[in-house]
Amino acid sequence: MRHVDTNSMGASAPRGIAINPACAVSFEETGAPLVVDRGQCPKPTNLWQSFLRGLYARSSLMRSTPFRIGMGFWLLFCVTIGFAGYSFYHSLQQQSLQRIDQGLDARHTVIENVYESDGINGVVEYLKASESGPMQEPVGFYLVNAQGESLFSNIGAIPGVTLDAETLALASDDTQYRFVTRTHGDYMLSVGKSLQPLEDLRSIALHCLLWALAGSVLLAVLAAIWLARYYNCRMFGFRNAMSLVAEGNLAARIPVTPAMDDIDDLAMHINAAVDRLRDNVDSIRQVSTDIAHDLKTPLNRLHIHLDEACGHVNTMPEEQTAGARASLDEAMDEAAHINSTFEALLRVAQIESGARRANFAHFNLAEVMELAHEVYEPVAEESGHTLINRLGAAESLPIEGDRELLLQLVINLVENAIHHCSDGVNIVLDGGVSDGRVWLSVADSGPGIPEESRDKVLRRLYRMERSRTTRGTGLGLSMVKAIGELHGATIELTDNEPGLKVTITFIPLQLDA
Amino acid sequence: MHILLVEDDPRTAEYAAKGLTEAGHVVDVLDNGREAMAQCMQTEYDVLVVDRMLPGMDGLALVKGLRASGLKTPVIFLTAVSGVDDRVEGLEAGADDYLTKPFAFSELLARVNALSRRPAASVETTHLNVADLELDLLKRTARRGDVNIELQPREFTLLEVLMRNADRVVSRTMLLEQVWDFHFDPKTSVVETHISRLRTKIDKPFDQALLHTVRNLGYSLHAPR
Repeated sequence: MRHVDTNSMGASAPRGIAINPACAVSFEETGAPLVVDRGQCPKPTNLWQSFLRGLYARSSLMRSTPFRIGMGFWLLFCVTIGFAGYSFYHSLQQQSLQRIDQGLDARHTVIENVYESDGINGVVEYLKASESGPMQEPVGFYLVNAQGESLFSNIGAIPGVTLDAETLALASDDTQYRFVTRTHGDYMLSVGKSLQPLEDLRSIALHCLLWALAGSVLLAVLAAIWLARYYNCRMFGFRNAMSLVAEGNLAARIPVTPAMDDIDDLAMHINAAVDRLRDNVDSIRQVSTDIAHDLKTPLNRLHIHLDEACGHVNTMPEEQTAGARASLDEAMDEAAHINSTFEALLRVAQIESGARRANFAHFNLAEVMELAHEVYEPVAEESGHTLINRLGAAESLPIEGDRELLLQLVINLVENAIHHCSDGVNIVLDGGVSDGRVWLSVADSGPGIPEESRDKVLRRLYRMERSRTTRGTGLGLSMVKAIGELHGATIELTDNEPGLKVTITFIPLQLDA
Repeated sequence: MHILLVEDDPRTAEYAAKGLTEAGHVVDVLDNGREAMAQCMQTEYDVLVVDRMLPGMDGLALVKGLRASGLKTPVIFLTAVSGVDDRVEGLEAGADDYLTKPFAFSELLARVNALSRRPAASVETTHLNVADLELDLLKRTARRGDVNIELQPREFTLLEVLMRNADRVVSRTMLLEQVWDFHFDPKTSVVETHISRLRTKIDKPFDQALLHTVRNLGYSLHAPR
């Protein structure tokens, strides 16, 4: 069974909405245009968004989400490793210091023993021996008597009397020593042990960390690039398929791998949505064709009957049939009007289905404007209006689209202006390129459209109260809207002060290969 | 002329066949594509008038089939919808013209006549003459009698189309298609306006009018009768 989306067939279009005259008064103040826009990327609203946009615009790698996630995880990894490394290093350092302190304690104990057995001279002898001994590790000494006079020292600068775990350099070398002062009888002796092991430890730790970082950054960037590439391939499948769908090719599908991972799952969901969309569009087309056939046949027969009736009437004497002739002519007109409304509805539906995108080609919009001007200038003149084309003949408005439909768009706008302006007005065609986007405008100095009705006039079959009496299908502007949307264009209805100005702004031309 | 009409709606077929016969043509009527295909292989027709939607084999497939088998008979499609794509599809399949239902018989007749007398592509006409009106297609100039007539490029094309179809009726839609390449129905009197402009140039200054309005049908350019 086919699913029929009646909404798309115009069933939801409001019929005969009258404008409340009380509302129409509030027209004059705001000039805010009605914008019919498509789901395009919004402009950044704060600094952070503009920063991100700028960054992504400059670097295609940064634009890739897998790459950013990869780099994010690498940063997290670095922070973790940093913390772990630091605490490991910190406890090792504490341990080494403790050992040094223990060593200092042991030396003081030995010196205490020497002092008790040999007195201060014994201590000095011992210190001299341990300073120059070939197998000894270098030791710092600083021996003062009770008066604070230095008796024996190998420290460069003379510090205060007591030293508690302070760091000093020796006279003979630059390396740092850790000193602890103890009293031996009346003498105070500071003994220092080299901090070289600690220094070594620090440099080893730093090296390790640097190498680990360098290694990990290389690995992480490579892995992130690989990930970005891999997912880019899959994203490309999405993008490719979706842009084909946007162009109206509803047969396009996203490729699905046999692995059935989360992306495949998403792809299958989107594919299912496109399936559904295609079914809907197909059924709309089918319905259009069916209606066309089922309604056109009786319309055609009606036309034939009327035509034959005219033929019969024409064979009779003219004075007897004047009334019948007039009625038949009116009936013919009416039938033609029904037909043209019907045709226009089908055409809008067909344009909205997007199938026309397959016929898009590059051309110069200025030529279309010129043609419209050339054809309609005399027509406007006949109705007492003046049609002006501000575009020069040499103007270039390159655009990709359906030439025939865009010509119809311009002509619908011009005809709309001619129809709805009673007094002689200027109808101005204009166009140009701003921010890389081609635009065209049709402006008149007629009665205009009240602000609150501007979005309604783009709907199917909507006719404003004052134009109800004139002939028309009420589909001219909705066809403009359909054609504009097919081209991804923005349609703006603004106050021309006085009059109506319709501006169509197209999407930037993509110069692809 | 021998015309084959392939149309499944009996009322429409009767109407068109009657009119064409009255206009002096010999008309065969068929109501499905398969028979039409077979018939075309046996009989040589001057023009085929084919409905787009047919039971059995649709009009598009019929015309494609005929063209594939090398038949060059001019074909006019009758389509239910002046659908943008239907026309392109039809012309791509090999049809020479198309007509949207409901159609006025005069429109069909005008198009059938125009098609049947379309000159072979190899014969290049350089001058067109109707009475004392002369059109030089190479120099793109027009003159009537001894008077040169200044024409805008599009006015020239309009006059050319009318002169190529001299003595026949050219409908509004035919002019829209051939002169301006408009394939939709304008809501304003585009054709009337341009015809009236043309008239002021080629008819008004002279004694006898050549360009005539045929009520409800279109326009006809012919020598005074």
